[in-house]
Amino acid sequence: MTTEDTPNHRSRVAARRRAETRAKLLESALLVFAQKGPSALIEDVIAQAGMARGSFYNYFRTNDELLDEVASEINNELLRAIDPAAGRSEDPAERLACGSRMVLHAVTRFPLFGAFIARLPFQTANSSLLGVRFMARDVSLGIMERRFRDIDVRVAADMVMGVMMSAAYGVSRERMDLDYADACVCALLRALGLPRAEASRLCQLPLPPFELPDNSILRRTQMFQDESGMIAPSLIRPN
Amino acid sequence: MTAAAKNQDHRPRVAAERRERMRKRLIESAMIVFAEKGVGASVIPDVVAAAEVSQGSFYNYFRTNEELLTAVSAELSAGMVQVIEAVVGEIGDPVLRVATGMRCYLHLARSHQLLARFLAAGGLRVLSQQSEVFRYLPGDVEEGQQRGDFAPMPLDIVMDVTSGAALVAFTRMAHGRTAKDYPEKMVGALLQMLGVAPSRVAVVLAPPLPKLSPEPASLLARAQARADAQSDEAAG
Repeated sequence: MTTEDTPNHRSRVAARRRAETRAKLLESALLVFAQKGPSALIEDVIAQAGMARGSFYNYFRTNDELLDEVASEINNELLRAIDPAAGRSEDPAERLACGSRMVLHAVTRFPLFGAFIARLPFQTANSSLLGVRFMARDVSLGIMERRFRDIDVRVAADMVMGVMMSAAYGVSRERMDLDYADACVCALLRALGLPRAEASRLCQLPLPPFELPDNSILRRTQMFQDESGMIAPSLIRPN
Repeated sequence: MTAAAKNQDHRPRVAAERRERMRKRLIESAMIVFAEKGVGASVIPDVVAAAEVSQGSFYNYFRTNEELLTAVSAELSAGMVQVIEAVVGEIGDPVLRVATGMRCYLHLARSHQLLARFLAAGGLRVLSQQSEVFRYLPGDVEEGQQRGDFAPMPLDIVMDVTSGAALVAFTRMAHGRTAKDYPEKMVGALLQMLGVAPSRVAVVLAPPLPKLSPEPASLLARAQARADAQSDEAAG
């Protein structure tokens, strides 16, 4: 190793360690927020992560900043997993049906995620979760192509948000099956002006396979909960 | 008044009235604080300050944040049901009944921003506890489903998606100005969601609504008046 490499190596190690600590804080925050709601305190997160208060502030300044980060981390994970799989059809209605069903199926499989979303302040959830932003693209396209009718863009976006939020809340409240998720999406498609039969058809199409990578925050926290026994094993849906 | 009551010492009655006034005052203050600060955080110190009572006397009325929230929610719902039922009570057609009831609910929130803020802050948990306001919805939808006007859908899902859509509407109205016909547009989408044909939606949304005025003594009217006075004070 040359003398030039040493600082490089050190900064690389430091960057990796920093990323690991940050990931651990986000995980702890997801667990704590899901249990206590967004008003949970930084103290709870620190305790869960087993970390000193001072070092926490090297990563996040406020509760809200942490909450936003957790939300966008999950959002990015879901988008990476779902968007390419759901985006194959030419039909915006089919893409929307497929994407929203996949999101809700994910929520059903990871109840902790549903609990987290259900407890977010609405503005945060609205801006960054449940793939609503990427769905907005298909909503506008569907309206432009007259696939969705009798609804204006803004109201359509509000309905997408409302149905996705309430479905996530429903799943977090009690164990639901995938039919519940599909029925909610079917209702959403009718709201957007699809005829009943067409809405039902789109909600029965087979979904492409979708897996979250092992290092995803949703997988990690679910395992974490399993080990510490905070969630009964029966609550965890077999994949 | 009966002879027995006349003979009774008037002190217990005065004390009971005073107690009732104090309870009302606390609930009013709580609604304003919840609307401002959200329902998750502990609001008791703020409510004590806003109602200008001592911490000790507060706890003679409510023990926890949750108890306070339940009291606000129950009193609000009761007042709203009164206003909504006065409009909806005589309607025979279930689709028109659901449409009109939901329009009233959203218009009340649009004309009382404090209500919109409180409901938005409460989120789905509080909204689903407002069972009074949604009391007639499952029955109305079931009747409409039997007639084929609404699509077949389990009633618990009807309740979930309806309260989800309502919550988005309350949030929009709580945080900004919305067009006058925003409630109609949301209710239109909601009816389509329940399976009503678009041509029918236009018909049931057409009748003008009467003016919705909550009783002056209702929590909604009292708390909104107080919130308005406070913001006038802050502005002036």
